[in-house]
This record gives sequence, structure tokens and C-alpha cells, in this order.
Amino acid sequence: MYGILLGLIMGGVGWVVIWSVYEPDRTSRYWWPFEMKEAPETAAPEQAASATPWRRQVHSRPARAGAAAPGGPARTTSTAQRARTEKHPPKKPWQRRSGS
Amino acid sequence: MLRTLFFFAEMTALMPFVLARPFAGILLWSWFSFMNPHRLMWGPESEMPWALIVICATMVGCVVAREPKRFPVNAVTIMIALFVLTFTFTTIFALAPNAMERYWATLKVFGVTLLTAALLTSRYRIHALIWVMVLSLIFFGIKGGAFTLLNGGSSRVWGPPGTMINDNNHLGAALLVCLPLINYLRMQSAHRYVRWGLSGAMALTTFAVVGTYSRGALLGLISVTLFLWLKTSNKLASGIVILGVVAAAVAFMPSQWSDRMNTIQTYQQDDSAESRIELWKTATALAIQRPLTGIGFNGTYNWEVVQRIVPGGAARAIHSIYFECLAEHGFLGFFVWIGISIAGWITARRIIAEAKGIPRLEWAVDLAKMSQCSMIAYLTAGTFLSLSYWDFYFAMLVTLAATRDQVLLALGKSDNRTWTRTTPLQPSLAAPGRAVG
Repeated sequence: MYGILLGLIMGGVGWVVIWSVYEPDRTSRYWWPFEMKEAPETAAPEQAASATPWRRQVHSRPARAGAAAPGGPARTTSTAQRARTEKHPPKKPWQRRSGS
Repeated sequence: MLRTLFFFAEMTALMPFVLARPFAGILLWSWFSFMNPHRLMWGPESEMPWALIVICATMVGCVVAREPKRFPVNAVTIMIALFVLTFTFTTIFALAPNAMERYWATLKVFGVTLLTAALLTSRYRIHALIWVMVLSLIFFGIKGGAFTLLNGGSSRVWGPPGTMINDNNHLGAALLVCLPLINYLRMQSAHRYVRWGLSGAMALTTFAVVGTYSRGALLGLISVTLFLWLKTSNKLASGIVILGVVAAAVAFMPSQWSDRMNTIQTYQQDDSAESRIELWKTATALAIQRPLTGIGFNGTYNWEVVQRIVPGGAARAIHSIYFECLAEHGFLGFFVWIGISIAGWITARRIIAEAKGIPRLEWAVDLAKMSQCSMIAYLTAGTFLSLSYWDFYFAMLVTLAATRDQVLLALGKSDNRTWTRTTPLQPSLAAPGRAVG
């Protein structure tokens, strides 16, 4: 009984440490028993700037497809891709229908 | 043996996190400081200086990791810094030959507390620190509560050896301070099972507090439950639950417990209570003789020192947070020390006033209210025990100050009151409506 309790506390502290480093988003909350009721929607940007590489990617992930990450363009679009898009913007449906 | 292996494996696995993110080191250091888990192991691991290893790794992490280095300038941190200066000054004039030992230990406590304040930069971190603080003490609460229930309350519950809370009175006060923080986590946890577990832990912790046979803890329990009830929204339901648990714990205890508690009313006939009043008189006399410097750390334990200043005075632990500080650091140190708690209280009141009614800041209001309950517990139960420099309490106060910074940031009122080595916060970060990260 005593050993189980001690094991739970030890495991709990280790889990909290990893949770505080990883700062997971709400989608993975069931892996984290320490999750708060109202999870923050985004992390503080000064943290994002200082984050380790795997964290930085999590913070800068766009909220939805096509949306830019805070402080810069979306990571899914490269500079070359963006240049091509600006030069040849995608055609609207009615333009395609006209055959131009 | 298995637990020792598990402990060693866990520490080895977590150490890289400390180097990458120094705040992980603060969490681990807090765990070692509040619970001393290595003392519960067998073999050479229990003798290793784990706290020193963790704090060294944290220092390296502070240099290596690209973390913003900020010293938060607020009332609590200013008062703590002032107290560090004050007790450094009084140590110069300390009379006991072993004053420096206690000075270094206390300096370490407050130094790490200030480092904690500097790294508490988000709601995640505040929540994580509260979890580690609670997990560290809840172990003794659950264990003590189960022990009391199993032996019918006939034996006393003692604290962990080798810590600041090894005495039964100290453990009772520590569990009382922890009780409102458990309630905060219960209110703010997303998972139903976690909330249920924390509710059970609160009930067991109440039994453990009663099981310490500490009269100071009983007085603290009365005041903290009353204050907890005042701070809850649903007064009828919470009143029934709080009263039910406390009444069950008190009714469960045997007659020897009641006999001891009844001596509170007849303290004039009780040697223990009478000797405390004598000690407090000695402490006051020491402070009057040396109002600016006190007699320094460990002075009240030294018979020769006490006799030189107050002939006939008793030389032992003062058994009061107030009189201990008064005797050791004089009136100057005492007012600065009490100023830390006043600053914490004002901070909590401001959080409640500024964040009340804002759904996304409900957590801050809950934390402020529960911290006030914890402060009441410490300041009430502490009247009868020597726990003036307890790191848990001061860690809670800097957490409160960090919470206010988060509230100001969320409300767009942050004036960047930080000494920073990195780029100051941009105005966009403080825009209203932004979630607190």
C-alpha cells in the first residue's frame, strides 16, 4: 500500500515535469491527468521563441489550414511555393469554366 | 529495492529535461525540498545530494537553454529580496557560533524561491508547480490519514525525518497549508477521476491533521475550514461537506485526543503551553535589547547567548513563527518578514478584484482565494511552532505574484515590470482576449 502510494507520487511528479516541458494542446489532454479545466489556446509567444525545437514546432503550428503562424508565414508553405503562388494565383472556378 | 531502482531511473530520465528547460529543475528541486523523497529510499541513493545535483543542473540549464531571464519586480519579490538583505545584515552581528550554518540554509531557500519567481512565466508552469507542491505533501496527508483510520487515532502522525516538517506540530501545519491548494487543483482539474481522487485526499489529509495531536493544528483547522467555507460560492453544500468531514474526523478520535485538546482552555495548568508563553516573553526581551539586529540565527538555542542578553531566559526553540523571527532578526527583520505575507495577501486581493467575472481568468481567482486560505493556515498554526523560513510557504507566495503577472498580461495592463535580458514583451502580447499561456 505504502509502496504503491510512493510509486504514484514519484510517477506523478515525473509526469508533471514532462507535462510542464511539453505543454500539450487540448487534443492530447487524456494523456495528461494534470490538465487544467480551461487549457490555454496558445502558449505565450516569448515561450515559443525560447522553446526547444520540438516545442517550437508545436507552438508555430497554424490553427487551421491556410492560417499563418504567429509572427511569420505558415510553415507548410515554402518561400519558393509562395513566390509561385504570387506569380500565378490559383484560378477561380468561373475562370476555369471559361477555358482561359 | 524496487522503489530505489524506480527512483534512480526516474531521476536519470528527467535530468536531460532539466538541462533543456531549467523550470523542470525548479520542479524537481521543489519536490526534494518539500518531500525529501530520497530519504524514503534504501541504499546509497538515499545519501546522494540530489537537491544539489538538481540545482547545479538547473543553473547549467539557465545558462544553456534559451529561456527569457527575467526577474519579476513585484511586492512579494521585493519584500523577499529585502528580507534576504536584512537577515544577511543581522547575521553579521549574530551571537551564536553556528549562525552561519542556518544562514546558508536560509539563503539557499530564498535564493531558489527568487529563481522560481523568475521562471514562473506561464499558467502551465504555475499549475505544474502547484501540482508538485501538493504531490509532495499529499503523500504524508494520505499516509497519515490512512494510519489514523487504521489504528483508531491512538497513535500520533509524525512528519518525514530530516525535513523542516518532521515534528508532529509542523506536519499538522504543513498539511493545513496544503489543504486549500489541493482544493484549488480539485476545482481546476479537467478530469473527473482526478477531481474525485483529490476530494478523497482532502478528507484523508483532514484525518491526518487531527491525527497529529497538535493543538496548534486544531486551531488552524478551525480557522482554515471557516475561511474555506467563506471563500466558496455554494455556501450550503460546501458547509455541509466541510462540517461533515471535520466533525467525522474529530468524532473518530479517542478520548486521549479530546483530553489533550481540552488543555487549550486550561493552558495555565499545562506545562507545555506555559513554557511557550515564557519563551515568547524571552524572545520579546531579546528583541527589545537588540531591536535592529536581534541575536541572529540559532541564537535562541544557545544558553550562553540567551543568558548574556536576558538572564534567566529559556534557551530552546521559540515555538512561534513570529517570536522566532523577532528574536533572531529584531524588529527590523520582523517587520520585513511579516511584510512578505502582507504583500502576498494584497496581491491575492488584487487578483480577485481584477479577474473576478472573467471566465478565462477564473483559475487565477480560485488560486488567489485558496492561497489566502493557506496563508490563514500558516499564520494561525504557525503561532505555536518554529517554521519562519518554510520554503513551501514562500514558494506559494511567489506563485501568487506570478499569477497576478499573468492576470495583468491577459487584461492588457502589464507594464513590463521586469528586469530582462531578452526583448521586452511586445504590446500585442498584452492584448485583451488573449489566452494566458
